[in-house]
Amino acid sequence: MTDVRGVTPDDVTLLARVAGIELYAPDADGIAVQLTELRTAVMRRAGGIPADMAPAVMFDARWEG
Amino acid sequence: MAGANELHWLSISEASELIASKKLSPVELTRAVLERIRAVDGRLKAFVTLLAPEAEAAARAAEASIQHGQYRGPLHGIPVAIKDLYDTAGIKTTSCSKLRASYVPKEDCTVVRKLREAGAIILGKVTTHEFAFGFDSPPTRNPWNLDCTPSGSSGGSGAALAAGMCLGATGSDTGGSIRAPAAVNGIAGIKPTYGRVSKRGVAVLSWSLDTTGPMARTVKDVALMLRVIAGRDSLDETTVDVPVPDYAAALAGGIRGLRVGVPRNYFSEDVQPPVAAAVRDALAVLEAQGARLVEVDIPDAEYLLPTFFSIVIPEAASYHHETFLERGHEYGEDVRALLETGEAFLATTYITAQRSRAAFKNAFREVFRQLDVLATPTLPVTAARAGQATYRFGGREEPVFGAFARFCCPFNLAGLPAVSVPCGFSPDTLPIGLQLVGKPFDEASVLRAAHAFEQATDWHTQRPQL
Repeated sequence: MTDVRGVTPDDVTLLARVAGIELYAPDADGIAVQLTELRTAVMRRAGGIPADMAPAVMFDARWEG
Repeated sequence: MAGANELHWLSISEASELIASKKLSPVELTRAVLERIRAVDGRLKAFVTLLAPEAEAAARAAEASIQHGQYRGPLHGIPVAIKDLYDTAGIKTTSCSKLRASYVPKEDCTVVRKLREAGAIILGKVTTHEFAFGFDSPPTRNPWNLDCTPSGSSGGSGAALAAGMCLGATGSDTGGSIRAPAAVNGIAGIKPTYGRVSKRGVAVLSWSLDTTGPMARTVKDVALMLRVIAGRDSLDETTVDVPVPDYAAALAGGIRGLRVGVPRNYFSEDVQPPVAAAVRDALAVLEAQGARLVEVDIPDAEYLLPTFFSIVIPEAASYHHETFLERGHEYGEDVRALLETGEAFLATTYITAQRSRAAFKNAFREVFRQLDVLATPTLPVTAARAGQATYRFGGREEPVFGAFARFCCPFNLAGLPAVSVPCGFSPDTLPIGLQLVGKPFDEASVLRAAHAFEQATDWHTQRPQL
């Protein structure tokens, strides 16, 4: 697995600006840590999932009868 | 029959037999429960909105119907509490947030509509953690220890039941929010299979994980409530058209030969010793009743919690996005920080988490090939003290949110039915819960196993001293 680049507080501030939300500045440090941990874990997990496994929210095209 | 000062401790099953045979009036029962609320809720603060006049009026109407031979079934005349996440027509529904302080829905949500049609008496709205996004439910306190929280997010429901302030209650469960309050308050609650019960009219936390379900003081009562509220709802496309069995009738038969899985990993790691001991004893009770214990391994378990957080956080942020743009500063600090985190989530992380979830669904299907139910502690801990931020396990500090989610969220990810039933107390008299998990839409087996355990023990009969 490629090393996941850590998320920095500046990244979080930028992403919040992109999202249009008003970020409470002291939250940025904690959010950066949490995003890094989650992204690292999830991407590590990805290495063990078959490539053809679809996400669990795939669209169901069936119509009700 | 229970004395007048004990009516509030009746189970739904007991009360319904008395009401059906006209030995107990719904008016008398409702007044007894309202009296109990007045006596103890000042200390517990479970009720957001108490509907005393409305409840008495509904009880009088129920009494009149029953006197005229129009008995609707086991919930007719039974006082219940509704989590303040659920829309109730004409009654403010706050989600315990400043942002919805004055929100008054025009219509009942589907679950409340079904409860009213069954003749249940709506006592009022009880606390939730703000928008169900947490495990505290402030300002409610735990009836077993007023310094502790009732957990969450259905903490108001859990506390109200444990204190005798209702006979049944509704909850919602995205990562443990029915089961955790059930465990720490010493009552029963079921997170049904995803799609078993309608969520229409209930505030969203995470569309792909949310479930709604019943809570009560006994497993039979949970079964009675589940039969009323389960079923396909054409207004909720996540519900599935699977027949709803008579869950109470399905409790009979015992558990001889039932294959009960006991995980060797994950669910035995970082567990408080009294919890581990209580669950070990509970497994021995199940075995003594004829169940066959089967050791199993949960693959890739270290990814369960990160997968869960990587779904619930961005989905919650998506639900709240428009409001957050303009009024983010009005959310509670804890919820605000989580929603900010969700706004910063990369789509690739979320989508990979959903693929991880699909893999876990398959993994649990394989685990269940040799099982009927799986048994675990509901939580690795007992109730948190108000303001407590972490639990300590040896040299490791774990945030309360993670400790409450880690044994519950795997079954939200897999969409499986999971019940919590009381199985003991810690040395400081805090309740402990046993979690029993089943195959999709096999609530009947899960409830039968929980009922058999409950009937062989007396944990569910213990009452807090208030």
